[in-house]
Amino acid sequence: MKQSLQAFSGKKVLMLGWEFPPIQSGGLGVACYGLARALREIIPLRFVVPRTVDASVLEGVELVGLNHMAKSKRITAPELSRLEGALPELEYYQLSAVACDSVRRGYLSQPGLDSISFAELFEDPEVYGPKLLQKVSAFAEAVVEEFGDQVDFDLIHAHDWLTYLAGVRLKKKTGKPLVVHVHALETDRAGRDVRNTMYYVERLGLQMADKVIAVSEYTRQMVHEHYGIRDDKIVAIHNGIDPQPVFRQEHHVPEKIVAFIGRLTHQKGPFYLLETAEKVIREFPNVRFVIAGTGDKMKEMIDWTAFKGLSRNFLFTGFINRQKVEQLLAVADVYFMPSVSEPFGLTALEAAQFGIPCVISKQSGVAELLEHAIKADYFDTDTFAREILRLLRDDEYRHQVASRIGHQLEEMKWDDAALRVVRVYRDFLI
Amino acid sequence: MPVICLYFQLHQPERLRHYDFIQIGNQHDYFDDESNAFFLRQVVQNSYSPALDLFIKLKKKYKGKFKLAFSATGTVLNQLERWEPAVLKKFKQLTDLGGVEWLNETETHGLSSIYHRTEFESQIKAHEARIVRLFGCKPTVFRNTELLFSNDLVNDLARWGYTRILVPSTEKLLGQKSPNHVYKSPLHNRMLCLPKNSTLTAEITRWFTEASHPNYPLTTTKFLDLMKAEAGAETINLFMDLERIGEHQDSKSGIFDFFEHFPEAAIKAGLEFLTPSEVFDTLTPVGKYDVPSPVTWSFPTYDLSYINGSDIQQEAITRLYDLAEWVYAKGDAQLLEDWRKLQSTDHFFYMTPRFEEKGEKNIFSPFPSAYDAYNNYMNIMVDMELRAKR
Repeated sequence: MKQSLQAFSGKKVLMLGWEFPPIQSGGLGVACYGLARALREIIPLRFVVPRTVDASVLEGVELVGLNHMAKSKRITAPELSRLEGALPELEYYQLSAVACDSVRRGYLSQPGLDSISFAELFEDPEVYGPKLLQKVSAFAEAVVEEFGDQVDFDLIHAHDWLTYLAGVRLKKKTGKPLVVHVHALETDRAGRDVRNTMYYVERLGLQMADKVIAVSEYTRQMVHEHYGIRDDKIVAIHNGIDPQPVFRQEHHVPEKIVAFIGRLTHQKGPFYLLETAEKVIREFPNVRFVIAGTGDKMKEMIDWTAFKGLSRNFLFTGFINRQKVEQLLAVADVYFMPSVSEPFGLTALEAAQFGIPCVISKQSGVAELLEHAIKADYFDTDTFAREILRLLRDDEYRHQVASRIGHQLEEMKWDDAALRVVRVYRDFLI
Repeated sequence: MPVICLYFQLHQPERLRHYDFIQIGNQHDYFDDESNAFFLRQVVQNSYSPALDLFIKLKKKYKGKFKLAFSATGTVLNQLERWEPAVLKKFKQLTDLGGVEWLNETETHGLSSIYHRTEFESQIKAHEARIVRLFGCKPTVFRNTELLFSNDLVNDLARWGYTRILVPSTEKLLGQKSPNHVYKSPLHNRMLCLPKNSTLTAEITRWFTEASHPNYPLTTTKFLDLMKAEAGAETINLFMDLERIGEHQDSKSGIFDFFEHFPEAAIKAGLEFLTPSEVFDTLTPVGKYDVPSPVTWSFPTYDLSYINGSDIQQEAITRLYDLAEWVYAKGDAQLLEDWRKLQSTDHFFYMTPRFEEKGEKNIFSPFPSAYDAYNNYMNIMVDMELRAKR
């Protein structure tokens, strides 16, 4: 560490992110926080996100919320038309009219609105929300406006596609090296053959990057296969996991609980989840699947459980906050994550921290890390069901699997991840 | 000249609080009393109270010439007893002036008539006793939740002493037949049905504030002309929610003025007001009212499709009524009360996906979406099952 400190003296990293606690919706905020906290010991960081609130604090890291930019800094009419016309960097890919059009909708095209301040734009409490594409392009605009002329940083580190445009523009303006960090890919979210705006933004970021960090070998392979990026430009660095106070609670429902936590979207394999559940319930009716999260597949999933007359074996919680996630993990018996494509899969590790064994798909980053987790292909619902049944029926076996997984967690430290990230920086800064 | 049969219904939902999985087994207070009290006070202030004042004034002025009927669910009566007892006093005062009839209905505004006949019976009996206790008169006419009716109900209702029922009318149902008469059921000789005149009622309840409607603005003269134009009518049955006066159509709309002047105009024109019982006493049935599957007065489908038309609604309803035997056996008064409050069709109406399918929001629902309503209700159902089966 000391050596690193000296080596980097006077150097500074500008990080671009979208989530930072307490403003977060998924694993991205958790990962950015963990990484920044470990990195701050080694190199000064300025972390820029669209929005911060009073509680957004990490000592030793200069956290910048663009919602606090001077109110006078506005996107005025000419800038607005530039943003609406098309994102210049994307023209290169000759985006379909549809994709460009989707970028144009939203705040900036509201009739009668000829300018809006960045601060106002980023005050939107929705982290993602329907105006995401506008916020993404405005974020790029605002970052260049705010940091394009500054010389007090030496490297740009951009987290996920949301900030890639900003990273790319800033690199063009300042000539500083760009590292992009892949926590998730559009090919995970929307399927491998997706070719939408998000995909092209990712592709641009990955191509323009000087180095790509992927959160798993699985994701590294995906970046290589689906985005045409050379293998040697990508490095896989697994996230760490912070130890956290865990607790167990007696649950009040008499059934065994299988928990699922995540967005209810194609990516998370919702219908493989239901198919597995049906097979489990048939053999072991005394079980309840608690499905925590929301997404475009929620209605279909609920309809399915009602149509099958299986509502007694399910609970849909909708979106739940951190505290309730913990309360759920504290009462669950098994954690189930049948993702079709999961770059990392933090919740499986959190479940393990709470002493619950996880049954996960092989198509996930954590599958590489958790030697003792129960794994199957995401579509192999027979195996999933058989394994979940075994865990539910045999308490001792369940505790054994959980404790074996638990031991492995101790090796997954953010400090180690940070050192590997610093090794990436070193190539550009020394 | 037809007679006029004016009937008002009162119901307010028992809104649920946000109840999530963490509370299951721990907390059993499902009902959002704060918002229930808030909305009750609002409807009392805007509608019930001024409407009752007006009716008392009209009764005193026209005495036996002005008559009307009411029914109220147990749910709204509970809320009035708890938060607005003065309204019940006004109702008593009005009833005591004579010519005011109270009808029987379900305690819970639920669907027990379809899903649990024993529960239906006990609610009818309980509600009958409650009306006697509150207003001193025993109801002899019945109206079901949402005016729900089907042939299937006839024999049971007759057995429990109710052979006079208010029923919905839809074009499909009556065909060329007019709603302005008494009908009888093909399944039971003595079972008489009085259909709502949906078209004329809608002039007051739906179109009164609709500037694009041909009869806007509706005056008492215009309305009398519309009634007179009903060929061969023996009775004009105007059945509506009381809150249409003053709540859904506020005082600025002129709805109070309309009702203030309506009796005088009608009486002058030689039209007589009768209560439902008097209509049944006076008129003889002109034909059969044959309803193989349930019909209701709910716009726009006149059936139960907004209440039980989807898989999730049916699943929730099944889970609820499946608990009946356990709830009865338990003998826990609080459990029974909660179970009954959960029967109100409002809970299931909030779960209809039909608004969202059309890109609309269900404006009556306190939930952001149908599925949020379902999830919340089902969390509560798990807790109910734990309590009932413990």
